[in-house]
Amino acid sequence: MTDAGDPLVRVRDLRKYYVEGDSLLDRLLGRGSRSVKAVDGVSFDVRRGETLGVVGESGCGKSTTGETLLRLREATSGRVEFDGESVLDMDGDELTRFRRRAQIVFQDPFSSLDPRMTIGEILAEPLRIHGLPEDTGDGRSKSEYRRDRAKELLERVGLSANQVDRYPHEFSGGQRQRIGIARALALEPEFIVLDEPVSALDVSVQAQVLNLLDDLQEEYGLTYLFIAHDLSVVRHICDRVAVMYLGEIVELGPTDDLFDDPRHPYTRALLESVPRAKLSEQGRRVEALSGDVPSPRDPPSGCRFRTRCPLVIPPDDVDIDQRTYREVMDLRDRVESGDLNPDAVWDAVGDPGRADKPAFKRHLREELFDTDLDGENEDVVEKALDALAEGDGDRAAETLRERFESVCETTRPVLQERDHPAACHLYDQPVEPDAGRDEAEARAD
Amino acid sequence: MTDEILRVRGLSTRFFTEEGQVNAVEDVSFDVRNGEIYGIVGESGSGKSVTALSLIDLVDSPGRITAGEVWYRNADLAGEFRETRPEAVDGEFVDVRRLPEGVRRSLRGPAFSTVFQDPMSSLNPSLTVGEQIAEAVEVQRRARANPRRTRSRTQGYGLSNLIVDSVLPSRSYVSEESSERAVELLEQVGIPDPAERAEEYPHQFSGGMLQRAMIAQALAGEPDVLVADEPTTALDVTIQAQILTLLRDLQEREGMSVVMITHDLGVIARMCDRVGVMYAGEIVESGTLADVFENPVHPYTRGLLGSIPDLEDPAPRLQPIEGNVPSLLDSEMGDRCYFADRCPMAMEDCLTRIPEFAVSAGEPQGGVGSDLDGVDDAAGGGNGGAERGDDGTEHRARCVLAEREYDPERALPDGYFDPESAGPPRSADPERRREPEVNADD
Repeated sequence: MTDAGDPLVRVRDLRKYYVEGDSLLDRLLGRGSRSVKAVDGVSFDVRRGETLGVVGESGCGKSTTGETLLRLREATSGRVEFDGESVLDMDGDELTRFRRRAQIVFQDPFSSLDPRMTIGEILAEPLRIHGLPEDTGDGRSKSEYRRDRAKELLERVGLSANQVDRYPHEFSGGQRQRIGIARALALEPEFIVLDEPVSALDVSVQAQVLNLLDDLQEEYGLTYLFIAHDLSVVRHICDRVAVMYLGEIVELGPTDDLFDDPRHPYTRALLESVPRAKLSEQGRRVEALSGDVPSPRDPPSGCRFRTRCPLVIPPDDVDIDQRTYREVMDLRDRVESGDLNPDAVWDAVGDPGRADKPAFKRHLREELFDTDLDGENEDVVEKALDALAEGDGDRAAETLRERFESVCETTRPVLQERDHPAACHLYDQPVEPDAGRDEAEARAD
Repeated sequence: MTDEILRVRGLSTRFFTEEGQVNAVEDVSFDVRNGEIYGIVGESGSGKSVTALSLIDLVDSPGRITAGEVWYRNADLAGEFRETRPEAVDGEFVDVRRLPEGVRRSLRGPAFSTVFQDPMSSLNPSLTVGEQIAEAVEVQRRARANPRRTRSRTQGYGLSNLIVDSVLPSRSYVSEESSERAVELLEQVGIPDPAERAEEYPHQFSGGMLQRAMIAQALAGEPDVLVADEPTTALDVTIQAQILTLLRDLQEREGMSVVMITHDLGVIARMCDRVGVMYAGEIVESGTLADVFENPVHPYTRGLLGSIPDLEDPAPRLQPIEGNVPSLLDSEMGDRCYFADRCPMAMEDCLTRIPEFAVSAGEPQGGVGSDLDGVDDAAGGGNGGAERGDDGTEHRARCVLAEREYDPERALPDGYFDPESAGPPRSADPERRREPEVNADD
């Protein structure tokens, strides 16, 4: 479980877009299609014998990443190398051979086992599909061999060999997940993608399965890609961790490093949010991230986290309190997305004649600002609100952008070439070793 | 503020299914105090959600509450029924279960309200969010306008209205005031642009926003007790943090009591003052957060805490609880501690039903008059019921280890409950098995 291994899997700039509105009818009507960028350019290595965790919230693309790199879904672009060979270019026999070496365990132990097959059949199926064994060598028939192998596998994952003729419904969730793991082991793979393997299980059973995964890795020298949303589980089982947000990896690093010294503001927010099962957690006030994850159909420009980021970076020449800047940026988001509807504001003010501009502005300020603006910042915001009150949203957006445009929206941050990179403008992008780092620390305080 | 708003006593709920009788909730007792958040934690199948449904009397066939009392503090109601139903009144408390059906229903909303786990399936997809919340407000408004004892909350809504409404797409049931109140409620739960969002349908809301809307709906009746059944389980962790913060703020602002039901010990730790741990339909341990998290007595509670990977200080290996959750089928439950088959410290004493003991914090304490430090008390009353003084210690556990130390001499042999070994070796001198160690009544 050291990280000394060379990469078994190399993923470079992997993309998976789902295209919507691309049906024949849409084309005939000349409607434009739009893509959902489920995975948008992720790169990472999985080293031999390690467990690489991929964490993120629902919709961040972590499962799609796992399935795409196994070719269970076709990638839109990018490169995946398995033991030096390009997975995305494989076909026929090559692909079959690859599938013997790389397996997957799914999240839901109830829907991932065929209810009409016995456990013995389920575990023998991968062998049968791959025409194994080629020769039993000891006079057993092939089906006897497979049945014996199924029993062996059952014992190995902590079930009893005499359960081989039972059906999935006779097992509990935890036992079924063990069967799913046994099935993945049947072909003696080197690499297993574990897609949320314990999130459907109760904690007491989850711990059993995590221990089992640990033991199997040790025994067979397995390499895992462990996809999960539960940070405690990830910390427990992974050697290195990649954090995903809206189709991108925002931070990647050795587990202890990443948890003890999280760099990306999103990683920090995630860690902050997790409720700890400890007495010291009682009454802890969490600075929760505001808002929801934006739609992957139309992700924000630049850094995708900027619409929620508490540390979004103001321009160098603008002197503004961090929280106030966040509020200004929220105002900008709403003006630019057309989300801010002046009609509704006038209604709320109770002035359908649209004469009382001061009331209009007061209402917006009360709704949007908890902190105080001053100096030129105040003047610019006032000008923008004036424009809004006159019904000129474009001018308001322009006025605000001129002064407040952030590097976070103009430039997409990248992961640095190092052990613990973070795709964030607070950290050197991409040169200058330590300057950005110190600044970031200062800002975080 | 240690006044209780709710006293639940001996609540039992059974489901009568084709496979047999399922004892989903078994003799559950707990108190909820004014303005506190009481947590109930358990794994799937532990009966925590059925407990929630039983509290608000929403158990559906084939389920039925078969025993127990739900005492709710309400001086007005108590006064009203003191004469006519003396058995349902105790001081300022009324036993909700013994009130007439109409009154019981009228309590949903102003007394009890619920937030369910899955906001997507709890709202009607064909009505706007605002309408649904306004409807809840309207029900309460009409109920307030009429005296409580009138039978139905929808009084005045007769067959003719139903026919008219089904022909004309209608908002006639909901008044202007209720719609305005709905927008206020949406604002209260932190939904931006509430007036506009009220016009939208559930599918236009994100999961977190929907859960906020559900909470708004639950607040419509200004409830005394909010039952939150896994309110954040379907949500991502950053959204969960928002909703938990919202619930706490609302609870403080409105002075509500909250019963928080979850499988997540972390959520319990962040939110609750006191907690009950459920296993196989029973509350197996209860007390303050410190009692349960720092000094757990029941091996199940200890196992649960040991199963969770620690975010800050990961252990190299987890300590899982072996085995699986029992089926709760009455025919398979047996007369023993339900956890004994998975318990690493099971003793012969565990082969009888275990009553609830007050936990001694290392030294004898009053209130329950128990003998401690492994001194056997063969008082053997054997009534098996939970004895519970309403005073006395709060830390209680349904486990003999609350009363005496683990004695390896009396441990059950390995594989005792294993179905593949030829049944429990009953030869092991049944005489030595103790009668249930029940304390003399205090």
